Amino acid sequence: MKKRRALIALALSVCVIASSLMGCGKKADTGSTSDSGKTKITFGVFETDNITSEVWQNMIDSFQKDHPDIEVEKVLATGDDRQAFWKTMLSSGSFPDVVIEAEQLATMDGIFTEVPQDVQDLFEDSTLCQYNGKCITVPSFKQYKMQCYYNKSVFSELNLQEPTTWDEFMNVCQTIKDAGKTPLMCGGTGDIWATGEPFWIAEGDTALLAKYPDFNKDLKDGSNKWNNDTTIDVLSKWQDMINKGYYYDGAMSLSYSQAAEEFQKGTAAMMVDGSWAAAGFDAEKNEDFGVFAVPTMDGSKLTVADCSYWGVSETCENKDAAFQFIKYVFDENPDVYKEYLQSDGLYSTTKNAVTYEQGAVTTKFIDNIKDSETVQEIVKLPGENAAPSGMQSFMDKSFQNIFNGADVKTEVEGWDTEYQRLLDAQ
Amino acid sequence: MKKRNMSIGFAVPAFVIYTILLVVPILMAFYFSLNKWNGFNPMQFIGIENYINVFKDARLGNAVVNTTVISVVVVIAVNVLGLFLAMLVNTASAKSNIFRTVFFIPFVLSTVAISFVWKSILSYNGVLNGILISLGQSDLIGNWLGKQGPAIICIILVEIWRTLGYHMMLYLAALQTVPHELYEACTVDGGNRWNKFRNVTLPLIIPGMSVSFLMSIINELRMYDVVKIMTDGGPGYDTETIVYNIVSQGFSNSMVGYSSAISVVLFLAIGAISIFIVTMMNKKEVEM
Repeated sequence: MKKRRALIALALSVCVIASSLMGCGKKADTGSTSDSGKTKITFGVFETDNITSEVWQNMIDSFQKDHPDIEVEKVLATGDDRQAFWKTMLSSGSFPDVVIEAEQLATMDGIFTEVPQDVQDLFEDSTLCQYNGKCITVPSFKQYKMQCYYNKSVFSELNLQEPTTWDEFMNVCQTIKDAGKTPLMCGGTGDIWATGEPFWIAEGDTALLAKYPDFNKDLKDGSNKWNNDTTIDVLSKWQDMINKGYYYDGAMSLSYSQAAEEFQKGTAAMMVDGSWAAAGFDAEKNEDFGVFAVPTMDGSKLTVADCSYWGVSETCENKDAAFQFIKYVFDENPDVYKEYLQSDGLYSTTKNAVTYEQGAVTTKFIDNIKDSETVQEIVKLPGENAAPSGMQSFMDKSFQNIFNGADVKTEVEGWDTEYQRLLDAQ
Repeated sequence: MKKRNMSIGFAVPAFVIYTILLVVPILMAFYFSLNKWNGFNPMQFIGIENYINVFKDARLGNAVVNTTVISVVVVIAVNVLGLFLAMLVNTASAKSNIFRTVFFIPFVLSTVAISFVWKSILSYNGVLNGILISLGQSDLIGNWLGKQGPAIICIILVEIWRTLGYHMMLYLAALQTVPHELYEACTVDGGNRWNKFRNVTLPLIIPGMSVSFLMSIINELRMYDVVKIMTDGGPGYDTETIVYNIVSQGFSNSMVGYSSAISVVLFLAIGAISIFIVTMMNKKEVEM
């Protein structure tokens, strides 16, 4: 009897071990075929207020309807640091077959497979990029950043016009401040990017690229540094604006969503934000807000637009199906691509340009930059001269330090140190 | 002999689980720490270079200071308040069960969920400032999560609130092992409340106190989730903890080798602190 009990206990212990270890495999069983025998691919995405679950599901459903032999499973990235999320998936062996926002990961060798020529041919040549001489990503869209949204009623009440020069912009801020209102809104806690990144893209990237058109290359070969007069000037002026009280007092205790909500409630008169905000206003048919291009400090006519990229994993077992999915989204069914672009105020990167009917705010947004030269955001430049992974996050934290009064020069010296450290380590 | 084999047989499952889930990852982390590795491409052996960099990293130094501040305050607060609450609950009537439950609930709830709740309470347009405004105390409203001082204080308060119930329960369990006769003997000897606490309660709850101290120190040194959700280490690096730094270096910066070196150092630090606490408490137990 005793022996029997012991054997049962031993068997139960073995079951406990077996069940505990079931989740310890290197790769989650995404499988190359689904239960129904179809070819299966996984598709790594993230969702926002604009690019909703519905947008992705419509894309997947439409593809599956036209390609019934292929099943697409959505893998959703959670949290605000999507690159870190994908790296976690990569480390655990669960990396999706097709991944959006692949440009940062593409700087690491061997993650994405080379894009077949017939797929490359679908895209504008100027938007394609290479890593170590190979095209391993496809440009999914172009997104314009950053302009200044404003509350029309405040501008009307104070008889203000959209500023076209830096001095006029400062006058607008001061007039709003003098009227007892808050000129500018930004985010802070939890969404670290929302503190300084919008202003930096509008002023810092444009100022640096106007003066040093090959800034990324210069940084990489050591012939230039972050710590230069232009960077210091832009950030000093930004800190001056903060010190003058142009920004909302509690901005650093607000997430991006809370900051945007407060701006729409009228807590502040202006907010520097990307083209996705225009798409949001248009989706709600909200015409209470206008938008103007933030006047550059040096008067240069540059505007920043990033291309985002998709990649197919080198470990994908069904690469043909993955590229078939990409061809479908970007070529075979323009309605799918159109819905994707329209949801977030994005622009097509394909040779057969896909357009959509724009709302009033988006139309104004594009109209503001019709005479400007488009440049790529410094830390998001894809290809050989890409900034090392982690630089963006470091700069975002540095912007917060500057917002809270840190010495600009000391902070920017830290950018060079960190840039080199990350470059050496990666 | 047969009995001995049987004992080994029962120990094997635990040993295998422990080895696979704990010992192997620790050894792997140590191996990674000797390499330059981005988590994907082939590793490059660099010896102790990562360890040298650990001691030169100013950002990590800042994370160590933040973690130390949070740990010291939280460990002292939860142990002092936990013991105080446990004594109150222990002496109260059976109805006090409701208090045990109330104090313990925060520890049972998901840390992620309560961090989101506290974030919404403490944000500038959140509940706390809303209450202050409605009470006519607009001068007192604060940028709680957006400035260094208030942000780290908020993290500390939330952490105390979250873990206090757990430590109260540890002390309560320890208090309930103290024989009532000893208090009666102390009363007969003319002892007052302080004498009872100093000469009866304290010596007999030292083992429970050791566990509570140790658990609180280990928990705080590993703190990540509350910081990640409430402030994301910000503003700037002002609330960044050691584990937050490890995750950032490993996944945001693709420096898995370096983050493994920090992990190994943290592991050794926690081990050393644990041994120190246990030894010290054992000594106290003998002395008292």
